Formats: sequence, C-alpha cells, structure tokens
Amino acid sequence: MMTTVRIACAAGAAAVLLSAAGCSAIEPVQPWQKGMLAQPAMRFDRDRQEARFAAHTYDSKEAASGSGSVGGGGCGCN
Amino acid sequence: MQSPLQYRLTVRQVLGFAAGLLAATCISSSAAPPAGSAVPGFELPGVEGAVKLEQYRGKLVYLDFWASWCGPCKRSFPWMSAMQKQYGPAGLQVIAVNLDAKREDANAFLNAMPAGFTVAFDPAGSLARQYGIKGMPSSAVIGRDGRLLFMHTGFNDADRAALEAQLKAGLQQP
Repeated sequence: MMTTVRIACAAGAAAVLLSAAGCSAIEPVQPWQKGMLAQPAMRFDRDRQEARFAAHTYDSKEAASGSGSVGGGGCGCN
Repeated sequence: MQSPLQYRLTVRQVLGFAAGLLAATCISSSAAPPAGSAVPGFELPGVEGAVKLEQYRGKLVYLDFWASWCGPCKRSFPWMSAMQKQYGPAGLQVIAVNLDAKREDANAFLNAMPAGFTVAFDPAGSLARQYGIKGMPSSAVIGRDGRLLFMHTGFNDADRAALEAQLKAGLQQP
C-alpha cells in the first residue's frame, strides 16, 4: 500500500516536472512573427464597410447601454 | 507515506525546475539595450551587397525594423525617404531592416514602395531580438558616436514631427 502511494506520488511529481519543463521550450511569439495574423483571412469580419454598417446599426439600437465597445454610452452618465 | 528526506528532495527538484523556467523566460525575452549604451555592430544582407553598421560610423543612424504585412510600416516609408533626402547631407542614414520570413514578400513591397534609403534583410529576426523589439514598426536611433540615443515603437502621423525634431537634435550631437 505504502509503496503504491509512493510510486503514485513520484509519478505525479515527474509528470508535473516534465510538463513544466516543456513550458520552458515555448517561446513567446515575437512581433515580427505575426505576419499570418495580419492577413485578410484572419479578420473577424468579412468586409470592413459591412462591419462598420452593422456596428452603426448596433450603436443606434443600444445607444443607451454603451454600444459595442467599452467607452461611454449615449446617456452621458459614464 | 513518504519519508521526510524524499519529500525534501522533491521540493528541491521543483525549486530547481522553477529557477530553470525563470531563467529560460529571461533569456527568451531579450530587453532593449539602455539608451546611451554602445550598440553592437551587425552585418546583414542588403539589396546590393552586405550592410554593415561599421560603414556608417560617424553618421546618425535611423535603424528601422519593418515587415511587408505591417500597415504603419508602409506609411513610414515615404517619411523615411523624405528624412533621408532632407537630412542625408547633414549625416543621417536610414537603414530599414526587413523582418519578413520570405524575401519575396519584402521584394513585392519594395517594388510597390521604392525606398530612398538602405534596406537590409534579417529573416531570422536576430537583430530585432538584440534590440528587444516590442512592436512593428520599431526604430532605434544610433548617434554619431555609436551609442543608442533612443528607441521608438509604432508609426503614426502624430509621430512624424516629434521624430524629426529628435533626429535634428541627434544630428547636432557629436
């Protein structure tokens, strides 16, 4: 029983250490490596004009509650 | 359960790994050299032959880092050309280091946007890493004495006048 628990503990510790060691090999993406993200296919919207139009409609519908962004709303209270 | 000795060893191992992780993090994110420090020389392939920092000793070097996919970089090109034209005779040298992984992307950009200054290529980003670049575009201004004057990240219309004033001031320095 004792041995089993000990082995389990050792295996658990080894697993944690191994996975932590893996983290050190991951390098953060550098600013000059973000070319893929700048491609048009990576946009959230399909068309800039269409997205602005949709945002404008949303703004006018939700004018009192702060619209689609984090800035102040239309009520003048925040 | 476990003996105290075994437990202590495990803790030590965990701490060792934590220290290792921390060290690895520190190494991978290189910081920008402090202003006033002498910058290390470099040699990169250029459009026509190698581009060495040594060649421009005694000049004020505007070292720009750019990529073909970066919008503000595109806007900065005409400005850098104008600066080179206006202040080149007074001792300014603009060196624009391209960081595209593929040379074709850079060439297509340069065909559409002619550069009136020196262009170098650093596809591996080794020089950008040395300068701890945090955004695109970034620039490092190196004084006539080979020391870093300042670094700048990004480019927008509001930056033009301030950067030009800083370049003018840099040209006055020995």
